[in-house]
Amino acid sequence: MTAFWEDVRALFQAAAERPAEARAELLRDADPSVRAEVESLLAAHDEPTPFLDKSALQLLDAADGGARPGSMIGNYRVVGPLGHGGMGTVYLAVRDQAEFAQRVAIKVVRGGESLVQRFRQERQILAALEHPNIARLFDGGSTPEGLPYLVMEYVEGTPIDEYARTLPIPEKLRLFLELCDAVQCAHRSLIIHRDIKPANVLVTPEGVPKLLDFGIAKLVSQTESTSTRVMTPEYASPEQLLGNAVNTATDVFSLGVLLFELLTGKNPFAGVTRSPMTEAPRPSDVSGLRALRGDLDAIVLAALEVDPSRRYGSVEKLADDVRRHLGGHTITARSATFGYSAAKFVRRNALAVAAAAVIVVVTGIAFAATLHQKRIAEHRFEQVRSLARSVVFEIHDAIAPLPGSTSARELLVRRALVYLDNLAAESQENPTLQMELAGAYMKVGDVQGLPYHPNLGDTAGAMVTYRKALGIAREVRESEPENVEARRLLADVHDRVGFVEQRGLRWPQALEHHEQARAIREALPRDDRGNVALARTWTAVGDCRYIGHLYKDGTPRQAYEAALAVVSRVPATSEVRRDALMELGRAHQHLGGYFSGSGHDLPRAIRHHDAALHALELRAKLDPRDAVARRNLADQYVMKATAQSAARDGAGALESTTHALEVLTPLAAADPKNVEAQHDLAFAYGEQGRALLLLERFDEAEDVFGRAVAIHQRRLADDPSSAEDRRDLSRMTGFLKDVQAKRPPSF
Amino acid sequence: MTQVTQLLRDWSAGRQEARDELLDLVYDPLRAIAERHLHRERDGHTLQPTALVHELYLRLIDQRHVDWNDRTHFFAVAAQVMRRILVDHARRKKSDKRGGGITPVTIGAAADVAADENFDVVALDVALENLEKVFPQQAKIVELRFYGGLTIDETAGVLRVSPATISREWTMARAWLRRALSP
Repeated sequence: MTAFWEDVRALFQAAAERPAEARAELLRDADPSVRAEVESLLAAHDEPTPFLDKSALQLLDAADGGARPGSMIGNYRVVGPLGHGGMGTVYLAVRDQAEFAQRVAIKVVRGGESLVQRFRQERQILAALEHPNIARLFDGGSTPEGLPYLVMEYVEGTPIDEYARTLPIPEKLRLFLELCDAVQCAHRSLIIHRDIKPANVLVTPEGVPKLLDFGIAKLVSQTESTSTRVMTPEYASPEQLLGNAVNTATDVFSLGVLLFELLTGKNPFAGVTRSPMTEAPRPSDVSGLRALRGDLDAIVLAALEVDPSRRYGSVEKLADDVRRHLGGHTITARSATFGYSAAKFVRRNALAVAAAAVIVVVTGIAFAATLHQKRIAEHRFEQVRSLARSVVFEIHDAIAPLPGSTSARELLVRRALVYLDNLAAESQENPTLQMELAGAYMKVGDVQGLPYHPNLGDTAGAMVTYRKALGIAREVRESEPENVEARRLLADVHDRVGFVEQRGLRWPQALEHHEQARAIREALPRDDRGNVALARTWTAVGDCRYIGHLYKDGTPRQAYEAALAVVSRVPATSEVRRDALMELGRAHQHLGGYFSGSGHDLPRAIRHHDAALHALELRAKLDPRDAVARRNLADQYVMKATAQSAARDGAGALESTTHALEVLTPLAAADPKNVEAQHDLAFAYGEQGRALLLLERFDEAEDVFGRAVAIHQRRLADDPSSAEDRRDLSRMTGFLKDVQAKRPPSF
Repeated sequence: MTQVTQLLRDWSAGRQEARDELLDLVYDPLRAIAERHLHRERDGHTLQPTALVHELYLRLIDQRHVDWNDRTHFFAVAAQVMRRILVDHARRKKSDKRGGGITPVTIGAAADVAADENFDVVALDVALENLEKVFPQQAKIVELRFYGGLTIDETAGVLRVSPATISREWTMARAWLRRALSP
């Protein structure tokens, strides 16, 4: 930049900040050429009309043609445009034939024929949505140009944020409760709004809030041509940002954003580039209002949880807490939620490998695989096959869990995959060999990253390997539909893929795989082994339903109780008694989590936890030296502690977590790379911290939360893709904040 | 890690060619999204450009491997791409209309948009190029604000200067461009 332009800039910026009459003095002494330039810029600056006020695409949208005043849309005469929205243009119109001029809002949507069709299907449902706080949907059709339109109740009002700006907090909350009531009513009809934001909530001059556009977002986004989603990023839930399935928790999140705005006057995500993992700040921090500290902070943040399973389970619960706060009662937002504890499903196999022996064998195979001579090819094939069987099944299964084997197993996995892939290329149309291969892939996948088992923490790699197994097992089932082993294997692989999806918090996908496994298993002959496996699948189905809020095909409780029912058929004398006890314990454990998580029935939850403890204790006593069985027992103590904390029994919870840590600490120390052991340990620390917090032993609580934080941070450094660690880390740092908030001030 | 993520990281680490590769890589997907808007074919996606860029961002970028730095770089690139797309679109439209007399392609043609928001897309681009020669930072700010739809604060984040500075420079850039575009 030349000195001339530098002067122009300095002078312009100084002058532009002042009113026109105060500029003369400033300009008087300037160099004439600089002055001329600045004056010409100031003239442009002072023009009153807008310029570049909207961004390019906003202008493009506004330029989007549309209906002229006086033209007809269906039976309605257009009065003029009301505004441009995400989906199209909204017009004010009047019904001509009506005895009195009924005013309506008509939304002309840019969409295709499929939208019109879909609208016809859904119209009745939406039109039946009658609630004083919901703008009615009257009619719909398509314009001569083929654009679908929706005729809606015209609401004359002010956007809720503007309306509420000057209201005292209790008034704001009461307005919000009316809104919640409307959303709740729609949820009862299984209609989700998906785009709740201030612009969609108008308050009439009489002070009645009206929610616009119910169900419209879904209507519009389900047309055929694109996968686009109607949403507003500042109000969208993380699952919407990720393009995942939405449910009522999505509306809970958007209501949370709206409540945040009502209370603080600001959007929680204003000024930040938001990712799906972005956590909302505390309303009291953003606004500086002391009145928001405590309850209201907690309520808003509980509605804005990134993980849907940790949010309020329904709008009703959110509204209840707001009502409790207004009535001066204790809110639920700070008590235990179930999501995180239910995510800890405990089932472990002995899977560790005697590393040295395996590597010797694998290296031998890799060497054999490099030999090219045609003459020995067939011989080699047989050799590889028998070695594969030996490594993956015999050696693997013969050796008891060994701590410290992680590094060696990583090498095993890499080598094993190389030769399995080679073998796969040559094994087509040989069902027996294909079965062996699929089984081998499955085992390798287990070592890579089967959640809730000792594994190497490579979930992405595990998924790739499982998909190979899935493909092969499907082929075998198709060529031999009656092959029981093939079907059982297919179900096993489906379950595993489901577990990996669960670990990534992709509940709908997980549920689909578990449901496939369930369908296969139910059609198989039901021996003891089959019953145990089916129980495991049912429990997984329950977990997905519960944590993913996927209640379409039944409740979580039904699934868990189905698991209890099938596993109870296994007699005490069965040779699979060990596994049966395990599944029995798990089903009770998850039912316990379910009842404590819903918060309704803590005594019942604790009864299930005690039943689980009983089963797992029996299991551990069958093999006193089995470390895995002891870990499962330890984890169950942690689960029970969660319920005890929820029941505000701090002493009981502390005792339970102490039992747990006695087992977990030495195990985690023995094999620091074992991901599951680290997770268990962190989880137990978290629960112990909560117990200590209840007992107001703040220093100790801070210490154990800090340990949990350190574990998650280490894990994330190793595997940044672990959504679970990210979530748990934010949970633990949240607890640390709680400690600081509750600790009495020191002098 | 997706390719975009890797390129962003390379660019952050100082490999300048990564920026051009990135531009090439995001041009087509972003154009596809923009065309839906331009041709009114979309199924009702929200129209704010930040939302549009978000859509692309979520589609192309592997969330797990990106830090804040990468994100702001991405928005800078996306804004630049938006500018190119709009100008390309306008030029195509213009050439289609040749023979029937040249009509400047404007945005903001609808009746309910203030008359002053009508301006020639290509003329704005030329004016912006001239501005860039004198005040490169101001041109960048216009790109981020107008084409990228970023707020003052977001723009400040990308350019690593204070929002107050962005606001001052933006005011001047607007005056400059308005003067350049006035008849």
